[in-house]
Amino acid sequence: MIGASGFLGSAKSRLLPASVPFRFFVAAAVGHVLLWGAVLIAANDFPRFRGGAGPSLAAVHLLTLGVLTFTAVGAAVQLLPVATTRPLAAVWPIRLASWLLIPGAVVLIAGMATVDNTWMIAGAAASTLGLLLFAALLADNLRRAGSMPVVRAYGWAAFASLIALVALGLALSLDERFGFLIDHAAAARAHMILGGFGFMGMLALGFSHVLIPMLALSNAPDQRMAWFGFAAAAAAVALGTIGALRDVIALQSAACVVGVVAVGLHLGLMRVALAGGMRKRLGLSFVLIRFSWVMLALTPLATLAALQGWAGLGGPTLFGLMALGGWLMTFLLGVLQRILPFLASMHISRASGGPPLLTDLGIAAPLKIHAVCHLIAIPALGLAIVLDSAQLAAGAAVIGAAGALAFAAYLASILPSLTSGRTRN
Amino acid sequence: MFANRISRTLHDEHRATIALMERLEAAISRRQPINIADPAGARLLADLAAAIEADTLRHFDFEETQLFTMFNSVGDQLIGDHLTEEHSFMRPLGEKLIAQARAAQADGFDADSWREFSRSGAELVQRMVVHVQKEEMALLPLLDQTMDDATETRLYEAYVQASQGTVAT
Repeated sequence: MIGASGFLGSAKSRLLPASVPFRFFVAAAVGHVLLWGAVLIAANDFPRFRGGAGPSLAAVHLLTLGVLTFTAVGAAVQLLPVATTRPLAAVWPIRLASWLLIPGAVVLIAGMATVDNTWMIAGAAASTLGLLLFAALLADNLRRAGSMPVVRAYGWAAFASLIALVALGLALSLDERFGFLIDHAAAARAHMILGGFGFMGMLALGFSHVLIPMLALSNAPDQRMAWFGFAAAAAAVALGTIGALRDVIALQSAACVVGVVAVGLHLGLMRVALAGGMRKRLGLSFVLIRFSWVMLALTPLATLAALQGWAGLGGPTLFGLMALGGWLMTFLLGVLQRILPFLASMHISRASGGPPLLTDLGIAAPLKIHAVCHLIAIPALGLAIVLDSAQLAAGAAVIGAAGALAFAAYLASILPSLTSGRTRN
Repeated sequence: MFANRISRTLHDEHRATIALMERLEAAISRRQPINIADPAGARLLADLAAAIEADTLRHFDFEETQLFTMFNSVGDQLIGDHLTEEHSFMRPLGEKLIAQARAAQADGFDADSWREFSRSGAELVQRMVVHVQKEEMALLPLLDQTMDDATETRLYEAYVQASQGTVAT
């Protein structure tokens, strides 16, 4: 568990103004709705998407930048200072980062959707600056944190991946106009691996070592196994990135094999955390989290199958869906529905007195609708890719959009209390 | 696992409390009044009244009179203040639930008494889970890090005596 003298008493001093993390969460909720809308528009091409500007690329970036990155930035800037007991060095850089990152992502994704190089370059430049500001805050907090060495190691790996990710992303956007990259497709593959597994993956795995034991009320994962898991995950990302950049199938396949070890160790640690946890009734969020773990377990196998050509023409797209949508998005949405009311409760007092109850914040019914829709939409989209069916992809997108709207409605139900500082009851 | 006996003991009590809260949560979420003719329902009401009275409230008292005063004496007042404030919201809630459970053991539930019991129970479950989460994450590791052997022995004896009812904490 997080050993931290004064953890509780001074926790409020490490709270950011609610508007800071919540602007990222609202942006992620909007991105989530737009993502499914973009999949609907791109339904004809999406099942065989291999890259290149257009609505499918916009859909992918609505997922990676619009949902995953916004959620991760909002959660990281608030949860990391609480977990490490080190406040952010200053609040203005993250506010400035939001003003660069969110509009920058909008311009970048609009440029991708309309195949407009100027918008893509402008959006990529602004997003890059925003992400670099976030990276600087992340690094500063990790540098000052004294505890949780494994979580810090994951954080540093995510930081290094983020730097390489944004550099490649900017280069890719410039290459659309100037054509200076020797192998654009290889750089795009490396960009995807660094984004999905390096930045987002390492953050998700690292934060799991804090969040899952906290939610299940269990002991911290075994440190020795956690270090082995980290080493395997970092090695898989490094092998996969180098293999993708140099277009060496053997290296990418080796990354999958090492990835299987990393996933096995991680899921083993999570299983022990849940089995030993005091809390057995973990609710709807853990239905999503467990589903995301199944997707995580299948990801390296799907990747290997795609690399070896065993997964058919849709193999690479299926791998992308499994990793980014099945694992990361599902995991983050599961975690987000738990931390949204928790973070809101720290800024709100109860109208009838005392600290607010989490059930006073937000209406739970939309979360059930979201979970059902999400758990139908992701497998349906996977099936659409396997069958190369535009109709099925469109159907999955409609269901996914309904779920995304429900999730947005849940977030919207929290905001009135957050802005007024009081619960309704 | 925690090194000192105080942390281990409080951790064990947390485990028992959460198990009881989960039984209560499961009963409330069925949305049907607990049937006192059903042995499991009757056992839940009996366990609830007995555990809140004998364990939970004593657990709070021990923390406030022994542990938080110890932290205060070394200048670390914030954690005790925060957890004491949470106790102050849960203590009357626990007492209300004891009375409601005992009344139901005798007469069963009608629609009104079930609604009241469900409301109190749901609030206690929520508050207790968050409270235990905080104590497990912050208080018990802090005890492990800061307590010397002599203090551990003294406090453990005080704890044993309090749990046997020989000394009022």
